[in-house]
Amino acid sequence: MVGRDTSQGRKMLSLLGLLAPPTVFLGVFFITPLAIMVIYSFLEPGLYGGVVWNFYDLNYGRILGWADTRYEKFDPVYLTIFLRSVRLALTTVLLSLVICYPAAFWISRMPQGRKNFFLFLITLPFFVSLVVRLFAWVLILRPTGFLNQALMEIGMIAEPLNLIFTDTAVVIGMTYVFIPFMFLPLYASIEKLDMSLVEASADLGATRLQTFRRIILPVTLPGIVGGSIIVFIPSLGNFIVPSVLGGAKVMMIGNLIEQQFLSARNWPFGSALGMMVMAAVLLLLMIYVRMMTREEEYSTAAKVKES
Amino acid sequence: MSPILSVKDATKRYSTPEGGTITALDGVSLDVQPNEFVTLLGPSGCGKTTLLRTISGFEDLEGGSIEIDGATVTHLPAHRRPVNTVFQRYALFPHLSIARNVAYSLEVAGLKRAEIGSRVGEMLELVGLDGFGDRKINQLSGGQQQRVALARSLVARPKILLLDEPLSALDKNLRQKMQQELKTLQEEVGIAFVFVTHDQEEALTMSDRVAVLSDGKIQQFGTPEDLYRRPRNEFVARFLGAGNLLGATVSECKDAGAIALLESGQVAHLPSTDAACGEKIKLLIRPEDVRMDCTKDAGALRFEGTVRQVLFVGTDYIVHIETDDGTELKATLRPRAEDRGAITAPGARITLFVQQEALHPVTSAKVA
Amino acid sequence: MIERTAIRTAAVSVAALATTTVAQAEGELNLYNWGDYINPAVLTAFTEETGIEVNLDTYGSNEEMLAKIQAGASGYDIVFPSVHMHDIMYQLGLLAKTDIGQSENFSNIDPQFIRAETDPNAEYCLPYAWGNVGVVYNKTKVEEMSSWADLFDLAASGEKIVLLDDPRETIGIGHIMNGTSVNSTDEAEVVAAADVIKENLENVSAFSYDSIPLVTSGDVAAAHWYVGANIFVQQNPDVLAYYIPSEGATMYQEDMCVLKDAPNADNAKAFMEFYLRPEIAALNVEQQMNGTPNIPAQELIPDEIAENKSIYPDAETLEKLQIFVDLGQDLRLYNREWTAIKTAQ
Repeated sequence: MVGRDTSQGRKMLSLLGLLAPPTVFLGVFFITPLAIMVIYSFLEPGLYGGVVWNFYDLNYGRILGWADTRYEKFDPVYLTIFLRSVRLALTTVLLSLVICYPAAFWISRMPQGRKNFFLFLITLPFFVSLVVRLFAWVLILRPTGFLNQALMEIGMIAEPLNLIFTDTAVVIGMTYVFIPFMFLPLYASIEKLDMSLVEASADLGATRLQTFRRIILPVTLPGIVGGSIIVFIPSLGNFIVPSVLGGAKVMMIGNLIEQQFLSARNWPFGSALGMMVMAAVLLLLMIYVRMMTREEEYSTAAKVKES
Repeated sequence: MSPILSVKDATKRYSTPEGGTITALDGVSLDVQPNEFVTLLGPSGCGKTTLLRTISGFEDLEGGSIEIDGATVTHLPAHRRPVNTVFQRYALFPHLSIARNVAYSLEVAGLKRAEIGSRVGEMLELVGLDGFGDRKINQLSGGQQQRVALARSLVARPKILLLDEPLSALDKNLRQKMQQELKTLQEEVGIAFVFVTHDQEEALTMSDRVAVLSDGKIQQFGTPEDLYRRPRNEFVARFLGAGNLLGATVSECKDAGAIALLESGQVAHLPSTDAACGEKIKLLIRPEDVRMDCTKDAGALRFEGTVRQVLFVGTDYIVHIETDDGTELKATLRPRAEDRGAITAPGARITLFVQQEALHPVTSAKVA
Repeated sequence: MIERTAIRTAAVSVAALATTTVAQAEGELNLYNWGDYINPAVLTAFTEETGIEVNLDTYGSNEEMLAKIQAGASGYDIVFPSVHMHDIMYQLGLLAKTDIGQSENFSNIDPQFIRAETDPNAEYCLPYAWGNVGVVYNKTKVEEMSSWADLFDLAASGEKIVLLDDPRETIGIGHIMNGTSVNSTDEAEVVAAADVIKENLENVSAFSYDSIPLVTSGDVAAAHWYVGANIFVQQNPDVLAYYIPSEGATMYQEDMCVLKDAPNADNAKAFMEFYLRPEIAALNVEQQMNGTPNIPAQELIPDEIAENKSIYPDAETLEKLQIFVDLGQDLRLYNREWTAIKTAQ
């Protein structure tokens, strides 16, 4: 039928019009840099930065094991750094989750006005430069800093705690930086949580702990997983926090990559390391998407069909 | 027979954001017998839902006590009370299958898998959902979800089932069907149901007894017919069904009855009344008790007036009349074929009769 | 080179992008310099005298500057590369011939500072400033220090120390203590130098450029830092002190170079000539507290700077200062060892 074809054609056209701008945007600002990175990771490093256009697999060889020349040697240290970054990022995720989960519960049960005020407070740190905030943490964590002075004043410790320039400081810093990223998705799913589910569970004989484990946790799981991923990814690649609060003694994969692009003048190796991080993140996202498609099936279930 | 549920002098107040307090329950006492279907009925804000929530344990009482099957549960947390609730919007667990929803109370109680399986199967069969166990909640219609909620609440064999306006989310046809099913189910499982609703028709149809609440107090607790025919006060009379309330003054009190003087000057003989001599009362006349034909009863009240409005509702006509002395009267009439023409036109003259047995005196005072 | 932190680089580059595009009209001069590496009074004086407006952008590392220049169309006229970067930029054909060596006042420059191998007659660049990299310490935490060994002994005694987050400077300490060249490309020597740092790693609190506030507050007892620390020593003479370690140290020198695609080449040459004047070089040193290659300028600078042996060391100490040369491919040996140091703990 002609009429139907034209209306379908018009629909296609408007869909195309709607999708074209984001597609072009993503193409230019996401795919292109990514493509450059993929290509660079297989090229020879230029002497003073940049690349020489020869195929070169030793960038990956250095990470994964087959490089063995004077300049390009396999070293398990890169994987060690990667694994350490994963460990620190996971600790950050866990810590921010432990802080944000009860906070999100608490705030979501407030009256509307106060709720908005607290949500505003959560996003407040974004108004100040990250570097400035991190240097403020140096002042807090150093031996003569606020935290140690306060703890000594109230007699909890006799000697200043050795916090600054340790893994602990890095985790504290990253947790601080990424708390809003954890909080917002968690809050979104916790606020949606129907309190009558909690009552129903208690009504059916479940203790508070059972209710939490069997109802609250699984129902808010999408927020937990979403927040964890949003925190994990930038934590994994972070280099500012380890260099300021870790005193650059705690090297994370982000620092290694930064070093390759600047002082080491080895862009291809930096790209190869970047690809490794990205592969890990992609893997994670794929698992997440698979989980979410399963979640999707019952995400609307709580709503009662009216007919 | 000792009651399965006994609420004594229950009191509960809420503080409002403005700093005031609302008394949700004001000394409520209520006994429910085993195997009884009791409905808590009232307008929104009357305290009926609060009462239900104090029985289930979601709200604490400030004063009074609650006993279930002879044991005091006043301060027991919800999960330790032998009652289960069907929620207004069912509150089914969206991440669990239908079978797991139904099995929930048995799982948290730590029952063996085999037993859980057989009991869940029985329950699903009882509510007509056998074979649906593996489905997701959102694959069910509203009525089916309702049945899952019932199965989930009954599987643990509670001593009382509490239902918080469970039918309000359903459309009218489905609601009527579910009303019957619920009643049948209650008879089958043989436990007490305490049912909250603001729908008086629903309350009258389903219940063994109905408690009418207003302002945190029980205005009247009795059988549906009791409430309908013999409401204790004006509030109950008005809340349950349509009715005419005519102002009157008690003029003579005798042992066998009383005489009341209507505002129109007519004299009514009442079988009995609590009202004192000289007290102003109202006389309740249900529309269906207004008749077109004169009866043998010599004391029947007679009203002459003009038809103001006629609604044809199928079998009957609902006719609004203004009597000659200015009283408004509503009547449900089923006129004989030859009389129809006389009443169906507004402006027509009409004479109506009410037998003395149909008069019921109510006081205007609420229970306080 | 007061600030080298990579972190600030990002912010600085954004600022640079914003300003450079505007500043290309007549009567302008666009400088691209290390952060806090020129006395603003020098620029004001130049503008007052010539009417040429000076715009200043800053960078945090040679590599950052190079990447920006290589990308092209930067709009800058003058850059301040370290000597080895001067060589690299010459080889990459990024520098303009200025014949500054032929200028009348060039005789003011001490010839030993014409260090770039590719520019032996100062046909391209003007030696700008130099300094050394030594140790700054907190006098309330430690009595007297004079060597690298003292620094590591201090660390071993339980006090905190901070080294620079720079592979060549820090592995360079190992070279100096081992008696090998800081420019060594012998793998065994580089590994041995890195091992010195690894052995002491446990006692090193951090690798950082931002250590001065921590040394001042006493949170850190001593730190590997630039001669510019003297600015802070002057502000806090009772607390801070700076020294060139007795085993020797590294030195750095930056040259002032005009870019090949400089939009205001004449103004750039004029600025170089201006800077050759002793009083101008002295004005810079007064605030920067570093070394100038301008001989008559040394007569004009305040005594407390001229007589400060950590800024103007005696001949014997000067002998022991080594300057970095570009290592080409062999830079990777250092980066590899640096990564190893960062993961050794």
